[in-house]
Amino acid sequence: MTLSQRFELSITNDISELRRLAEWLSDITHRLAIPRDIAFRLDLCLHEAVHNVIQHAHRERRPHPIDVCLLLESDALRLEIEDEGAPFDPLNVTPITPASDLTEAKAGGWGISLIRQFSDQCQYDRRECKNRLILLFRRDRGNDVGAEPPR
Amino acid sequence: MELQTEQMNEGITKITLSGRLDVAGTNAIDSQFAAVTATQGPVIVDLSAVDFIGSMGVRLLLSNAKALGARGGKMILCKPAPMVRKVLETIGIDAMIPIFDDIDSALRALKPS
Repeated sequence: MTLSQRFELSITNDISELRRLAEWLSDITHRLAIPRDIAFRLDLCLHEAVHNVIQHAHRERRPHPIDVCLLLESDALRLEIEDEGAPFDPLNVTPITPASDLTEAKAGGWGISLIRQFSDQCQYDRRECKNRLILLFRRDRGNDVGAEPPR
Repeated sequence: MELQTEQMNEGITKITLSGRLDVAGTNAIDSQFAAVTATQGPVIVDLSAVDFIGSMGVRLLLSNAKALGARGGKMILCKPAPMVRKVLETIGIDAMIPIFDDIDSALRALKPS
């Protein structure tokens, strides 16, 4: 029998909510002694994914919910981020290629690349008029970022 | 996020950042960081007390390094924590902005050859 734990949080699409989100996650990862590298990757991917939703999901400036779920299973941790915004699959965005020269480097737009590189698996779907991004973090991957290409 | 500056010998400016370089942290120091790096001299950014960096933090470093470079100056990053370094390396920052694990190596790299 696989034991799993589920943690949920609903925030609004406001930049000020990102710190509350980080504190919520930090509390969970500390209490459950999640290894620091996995906790960092969770923190980073969640921050980037939710920031993208806050910045881009809605044209009008009205409060909308963003629902976050963290599921802890024996072999992996799973993050689900759901929003009511316009249909958008972040995994369809062409990744930015790192530049070799500072003058050619793009300063911004790295969020989705970081999500891809720091999670072990990425999935997107749209159901019931909601975007849902699912990110998987394997417990046995350790600190070896980039060992497997994310799907 | 806190920012402290120190003027070192030979016109080198050292910036020490501490805290989270997330959206809020970056917004808190954005103007101050740009003002301190609005120089032509070399800048060392000590990241030893930064425990998180996201894409907005990367943007802060890259955009100011580009501006500094355009004025003939140079930025060096120093002592990032392991996971912060992984973020920087994933984006390829280490190919554009030198990263050193200690201040002495960074200072040696800034000395004129």
